[in-house]
Amino acid sequence: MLKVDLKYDWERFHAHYQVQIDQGITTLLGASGEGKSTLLHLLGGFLPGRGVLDFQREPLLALPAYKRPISTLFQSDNLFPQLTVWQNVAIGVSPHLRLSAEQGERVAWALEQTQLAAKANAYPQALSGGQAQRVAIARVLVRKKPILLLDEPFSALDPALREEMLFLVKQVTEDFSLTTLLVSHLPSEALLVGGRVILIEQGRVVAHEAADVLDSAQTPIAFTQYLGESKSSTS
Amino acid sequence: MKKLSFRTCSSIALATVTLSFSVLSSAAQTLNVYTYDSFASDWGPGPKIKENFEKQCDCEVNFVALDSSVGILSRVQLEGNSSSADVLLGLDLNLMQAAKKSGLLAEHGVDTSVVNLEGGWSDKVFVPFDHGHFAFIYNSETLANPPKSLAEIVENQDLRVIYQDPRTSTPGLGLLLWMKSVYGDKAASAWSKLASHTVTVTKGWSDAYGLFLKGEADLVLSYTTSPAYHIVAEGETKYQAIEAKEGRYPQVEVAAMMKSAPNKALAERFMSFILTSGFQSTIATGNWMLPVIDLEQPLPDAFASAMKPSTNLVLPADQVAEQRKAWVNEWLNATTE
Amino acid sequence: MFVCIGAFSLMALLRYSDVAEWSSFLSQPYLWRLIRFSLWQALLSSLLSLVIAVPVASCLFHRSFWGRSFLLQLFSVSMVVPSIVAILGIVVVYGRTGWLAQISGIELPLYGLTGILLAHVFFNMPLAVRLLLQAYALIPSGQWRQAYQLGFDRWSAFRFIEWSYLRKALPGAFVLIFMLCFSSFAVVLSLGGGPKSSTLEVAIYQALRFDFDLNKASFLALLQVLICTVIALFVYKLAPVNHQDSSLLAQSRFPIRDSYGAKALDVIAFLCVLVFVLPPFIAIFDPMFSTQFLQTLGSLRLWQAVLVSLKIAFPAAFISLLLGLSFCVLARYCMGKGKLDIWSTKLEQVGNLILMVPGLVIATGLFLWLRDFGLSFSSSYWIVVWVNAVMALPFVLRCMMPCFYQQERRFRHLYSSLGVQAWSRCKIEWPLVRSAVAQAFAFALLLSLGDMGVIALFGSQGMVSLPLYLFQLIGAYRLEEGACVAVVLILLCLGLYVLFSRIVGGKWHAQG
Repeated sequence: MLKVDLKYDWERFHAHYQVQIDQGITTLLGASGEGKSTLLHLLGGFLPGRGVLDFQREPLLALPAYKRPISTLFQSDNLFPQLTVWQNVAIGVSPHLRLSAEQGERVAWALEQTQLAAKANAYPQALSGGQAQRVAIARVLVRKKPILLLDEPFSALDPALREEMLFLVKQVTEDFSLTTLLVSHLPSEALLVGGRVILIEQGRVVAHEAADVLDSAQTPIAFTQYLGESKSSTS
Repeated sequence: MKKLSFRTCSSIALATVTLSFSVLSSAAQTLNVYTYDSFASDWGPGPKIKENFEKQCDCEVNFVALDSSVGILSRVQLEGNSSSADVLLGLDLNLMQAAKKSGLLAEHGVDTSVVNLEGGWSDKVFVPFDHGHFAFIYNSETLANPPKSLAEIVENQDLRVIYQDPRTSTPGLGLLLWMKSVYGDKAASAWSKLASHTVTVTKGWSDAYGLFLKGEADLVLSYTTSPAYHIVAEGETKYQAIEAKEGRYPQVEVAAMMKSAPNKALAERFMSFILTSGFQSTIATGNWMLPVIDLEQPLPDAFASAMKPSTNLVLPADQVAEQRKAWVNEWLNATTE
Repeated sequence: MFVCIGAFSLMALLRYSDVAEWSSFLSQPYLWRLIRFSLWQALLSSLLSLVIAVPVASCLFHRSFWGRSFLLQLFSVSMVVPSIVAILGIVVVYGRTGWLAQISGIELPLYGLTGILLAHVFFNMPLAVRLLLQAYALIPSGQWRQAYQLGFDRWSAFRFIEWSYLRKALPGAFVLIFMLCFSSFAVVLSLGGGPKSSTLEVAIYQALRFDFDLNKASFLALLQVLICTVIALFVYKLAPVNHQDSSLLAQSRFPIRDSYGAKALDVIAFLCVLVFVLPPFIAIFDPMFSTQFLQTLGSLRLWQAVLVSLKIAFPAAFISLLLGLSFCVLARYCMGKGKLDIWSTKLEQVGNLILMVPGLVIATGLFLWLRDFGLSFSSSYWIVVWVNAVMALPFVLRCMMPCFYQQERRFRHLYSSLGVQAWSRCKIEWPLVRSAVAQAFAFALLLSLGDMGVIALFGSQGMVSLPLYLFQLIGAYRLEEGACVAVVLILLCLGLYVLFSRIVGGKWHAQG
């Protein structure tokens, strides 16, 4: 279980996140600028927060990003364009690219899982957007970190491809018992992957429910308001 | 003195402001004198000469300061007949031939009988304005037993010597001719002997003298008048010139007027002014060289050693002009082997 | 194109040439020895400068420590230090009675290759560091974020991130430094220990000034251009193609995992700086504490010289910047336009050409040209300004090109799709390029401030710039006073550099 009680101040933005997240997929919803990404950056260790951050009772807050049991996938810049696909994945195992035979097998396995084995020697420039993000997911697989944070990594992909990627994430989460947090601005995505949803407004967690409440008759008030806004803004 | 330098300063400042943004006012009574930078500088003889001459000519003297005496010549060679120069001040013995050949210079018509140089002066194009001798300078506090001749300098392998490149500097060329006049055909082997204890060969006088003052060498090639500077300006007597049993090679600095001089009459007057005390009295402590006429006022004692008579070694100008390239090559081959 | 000035000047000299005689020049054994030595010392100097510069740049990029920004500013002025001042500074440190000999008793065989390399590293290593740090600035922060997440140590970060960016900057830096060293003059002569160490530039100077042999001078100049071009073409051939990638992330910094190895390496890099760059600087600044310094400051002539220098440097830097900008814009225009594409990199190389033609040749050639046009030399002020501007161009281009290329690659489609053009585009780009522009302007300013050659040939009528004033002093036994003027010159350069990288570059950017 991931226990979060974090404060973060930036100019006039004062965030205070309090939530406990269980294993499985949780989707973070909220309008732009409400602080979804900030929470993810705090968890990942890319922003300095104050308070408590525990995972399985282990405090994480003092740890630098690379020591936290977390893999983060960003909107962009997940890959090194100067390295091949294989190197981009393998570097998740060893920053020096010195791999044992067993580690090498794991990289090969991760590339199989993400259907990239044929592209192992290609450079990221030669990949499509979906393939590039699959490389990033392959790296998540080899790193074996129990927490996976996704900051809208598929927002640039077309709907069909996005769905495919979300299924991949869902499957990975289930197969490896991950605690996955997915930032999204589409309620439909939350429905697609299931699990739970968290609604964030002005740097605070205002609701935390099972994902299917979005589709049910008794949607909580906090969500109806957000859904109404998002509907009117997309239409 | 103070007032004087302030005046020149302000006039220079004014000149900078007005002239740098073009349009040179072509007042009829301006004499353009091309010279090298330290001659025209505040502490050089330039400002005083300007004042002395302006007193009697009702004109304005305008010094154009170039980077070296070679710079003066190449500037007028580049400008050719369109040059605005009236007088060139600061060529030397070894540039005379090349300068004459350029065909840009006029005869001066000045009576040079007052010139006190050994053997007098008979050149019709150039008027000498100061002279001195090349000499190696040493620090008497650090060098207990200085050599007494050029030969000793060449032979004594313990001495650390700095001199200037004859391809790029006047003293360097002076040493080349000095060596040639002492050693003749054996110059090559003397050069290679000297090369084995030469610290370095610099581009110009400043680099060499600077390195010497920083203690990098026992001997540096300069002029017999160098010690006088340290005595007069700094009260420092430890720097002295090495004696030269074989004799010394002279350095004579000369002036000439341009054929195309825009202000010919004034140029002629200036040429004869050179051999008067109004010009010559400024030379010793201004340019740190010796005057070429006998002055009523004796020179400061500091110049005593520089005035000491010694054999004057001088190679004929036409031979120098003809052989210089070959001699430079001889030096190059001897020192690079 | 304005760069034709270089070619024109050479051509002006070539008109005086007699090709028949050239073969006789080529048969001189000394010439070949000269070329061999020039190549050898330039190769060693530039390699050594770069080899030291890479870890130093990496150290400066990753660590922040007290005095870091001052060190960077000092680095940017090292190349304007007049050669005689640098030579004396180096002698004070490493010479026979220098600090090193006094402290440790070790006497370096300074005169010869050692001295030349020491001086060239002093001049060029800092320049290389500045150029490399610009390459660092192009690394998108997304890469650092990934590196941080994946727990890269400094070695991994260097190998997988920094190197691939440095690799693109190194050939250009190498060519620039190589040319500077190849045509180095006073340093090579004074510290070379004799005519064994000599460069082509010396021969050109001799031919032009002492012999007034325009034929030989033009031959030698052409030879120099030829050799440098061959070297440059060879290096560019080996160089990887400029593939800048895009990232829209704002610059922010993520700490890279530290280790004892990295610390040790940084300390070594820093020691290199301590050994090569700082002591001569301290030696140069030393006269600041003498009584002579105040006296020098009180001299009216000094301030007039400062004024003259500024009056030359500002317009020159401005023109140079304009030239550089037009180059960049032109190069950009050529980018991605099919056949024209290859011209984009070629243009920068053409800019570099200027460096291969010796300054004296450019100046002399221009002189002959202007004479033929019947222009009077009363306008020598503008000639000095122009030649200075052109001479600074290669540095300006080095500073601006990478940044402009990156902008183009990132936003070309965006701009064309939005129809953003001309002025409005400038306004959008300004915040992104201003630090590079500031750097370029500051470099051009500094170079023109430190110029000696051009003003010595053209200067006249009381146009005594600060470096010229310095040389006058040193040429008249006044070494101490000259040293003080050198301090003033360097302080002025430092001051202007800081001023312009702050004002034009913006406060935040100035730290890079």
